[in-house]
Amino acid sequence: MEPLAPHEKLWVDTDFMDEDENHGSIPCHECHGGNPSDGNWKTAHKGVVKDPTWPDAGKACGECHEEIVEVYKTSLHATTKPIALSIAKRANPDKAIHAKLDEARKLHCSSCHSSCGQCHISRPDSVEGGFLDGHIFQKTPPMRTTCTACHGARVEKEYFGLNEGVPPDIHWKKKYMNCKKCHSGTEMHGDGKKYANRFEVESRAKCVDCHKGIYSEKAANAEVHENHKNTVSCQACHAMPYKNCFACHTAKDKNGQPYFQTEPSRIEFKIGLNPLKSKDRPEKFVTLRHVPVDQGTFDFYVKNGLSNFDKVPNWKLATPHTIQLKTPQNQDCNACHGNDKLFLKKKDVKQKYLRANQGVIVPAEMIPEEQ
Amino acid sequence: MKTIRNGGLLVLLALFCLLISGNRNPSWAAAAKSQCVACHTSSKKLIETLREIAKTKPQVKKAESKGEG
Repeated sequence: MEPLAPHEKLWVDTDFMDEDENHGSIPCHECHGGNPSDGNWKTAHKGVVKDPTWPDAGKACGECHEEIVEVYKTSLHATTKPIALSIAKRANPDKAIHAKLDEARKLHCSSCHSSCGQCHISRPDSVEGGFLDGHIFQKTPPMRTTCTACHGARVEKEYFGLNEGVPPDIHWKKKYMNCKKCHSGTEMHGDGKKYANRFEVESRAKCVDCHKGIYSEKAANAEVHENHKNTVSCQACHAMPYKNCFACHTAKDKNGQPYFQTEPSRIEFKIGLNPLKSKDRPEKFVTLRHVPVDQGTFDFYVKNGLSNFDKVPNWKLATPHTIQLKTPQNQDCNACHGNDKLFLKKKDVKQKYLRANQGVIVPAEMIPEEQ
Repeated sequence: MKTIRNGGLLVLLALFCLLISGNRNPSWAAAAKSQCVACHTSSKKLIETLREIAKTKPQVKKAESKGEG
């Protein structure tokens, strides 16, 4: 996404003050600080807070939106907890090493959080910020400049069909559904519970929220759906190939600026064993995505930092945004049954990561037999 | 009679004026005095100020990441 010009980022539309009777009547300095009567920008900006909603939105938003501000503290958008947890699980137990990993995580991974302001007023900092529309508050954050601004490499390219040879997701192509159609405000804001990952979130998007009757006798392909219920995830049959990322290495340049390098991504489709089996997610077979972490991700900061790399697979449960009604693997029974190319096997995994992924690799004897 | 009518008209006029001023967004009064508003609603002023800031700040080249994030 093209960044805004510097002055565009900061330009305030007078409509904000004229037409937003709630937010527009609050003097700038009440949220941002600074001295509004000082005509010299150097001194006027002393103490100015660019985003008064981060890290604590209590003062700026809490007076009116008390409940959302309270629960948002636990939202995955605020905590980015899955990143911290997966690093912690893989981390070397040595405290000094762990501290260095934490430093690297904060520098490289924690910038991916979001705040009230960075969805409803501005573009997120991670894409260089700037007002969405002259500081006019957006009740529903605009999809292209907020949601996919961050979720760009995978979700955006998949959903809009930007990966070569893969069509747009059917929900976009046929219905122009924006992110909010499936991902509710409650899911985004959190509900006060401390979830470890998005798959645990109670209000997460679920296919059956809309496709309610899919497992009923009257559903299309009722028998097929009934036979695969609780065994195969929806995506395993209805997702097209999706993006897999590899080998992210982080570092700082000579000026102390953080950067990363990744190996080229690959568009692949792999069904594996469900690593997060639960009552809510009982399927045996799910789609897996390779995530960019590897043993050397933080080598610049500390050698052998992820010494427990094998504790977590780097082929991760995925819900690709490449959904189609008809896919190569659901053309008929044997498009999937007996088609071992679809399944994550030992030979698909690098030797050094076999142990990490042993729980998700599908053994030959578990691949469904040809019908 | 004429005096009463004129008096009534004056009262109505006063009420009308009060109504108009009461309906105005309260931010106007503050905004009119605010230097924040004066600058941040003017592209010209923002461009000028940002150019001034750019002159005073050392140019640090941003590190370039390679690959998708």
